[in-house]
Amino acid sequence: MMKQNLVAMIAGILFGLGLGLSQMVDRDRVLGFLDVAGAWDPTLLFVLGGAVSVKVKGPVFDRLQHIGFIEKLGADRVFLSTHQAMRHLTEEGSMPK
Amino acid sequence: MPGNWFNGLLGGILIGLSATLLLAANGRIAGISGILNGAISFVKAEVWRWYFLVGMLLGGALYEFVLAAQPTPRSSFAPWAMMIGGFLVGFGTNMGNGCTSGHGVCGLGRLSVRSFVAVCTFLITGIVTVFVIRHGFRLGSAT
Repeated sequence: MMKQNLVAMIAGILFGLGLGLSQMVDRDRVLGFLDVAGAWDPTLLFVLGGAVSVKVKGPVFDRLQHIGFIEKLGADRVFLSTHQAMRHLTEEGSMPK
Repeated sequence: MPGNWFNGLLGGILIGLSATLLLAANGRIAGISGILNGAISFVKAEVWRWYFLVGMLLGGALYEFVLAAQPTPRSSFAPWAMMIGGFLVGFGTNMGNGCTSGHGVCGLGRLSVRSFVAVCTFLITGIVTVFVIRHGFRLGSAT
């Protein structure tokens, strides 16, 4: 429980830093990406590209697996959406309906 | 502004690291709308969601007040437009099982077809909406 919260906090800080650094906290930058007929701003593409490049099937994940990080600190179960997680938790009774 | 794409890439890498960490260590998807959705069900076993959200605010503040070269510009939108927009985002992300971060970062990262379809759908819808509002109705700040 403690570990789960600590990991979530660190992940949250990284996420917030990433949003700030990439300027995706600025609504005009996001709108600029969607405005293909105006002054098009491709930054969001780089943000998504950068994020996807280290994600699950990327080199970072492979490296974490290689050094045994996943085994030592790894999740005992994986949920791929909030709906899936909440459904499961409701079924096993750890969450009231 | 030059260097924008580089900051975008760097920020994206941090977001990717965050999502990888959360999935590898906790087995959860770093989709912000989903995390918030689960957080407001106030279940004790799911209290990590609040830690993530608070961490995200801390990370954003750390950038804005410590690292940022200049303050992030704040554009004002009409409150009614924000409320309609927020409602549609909440409704749509719940219906579509994820948002930009859930589908765009986590889903595309694990090569999910459902996420690919979702990303194409919301990007196209977003582009069409912005086009109609900015260039059709000439509303908003068309730069």
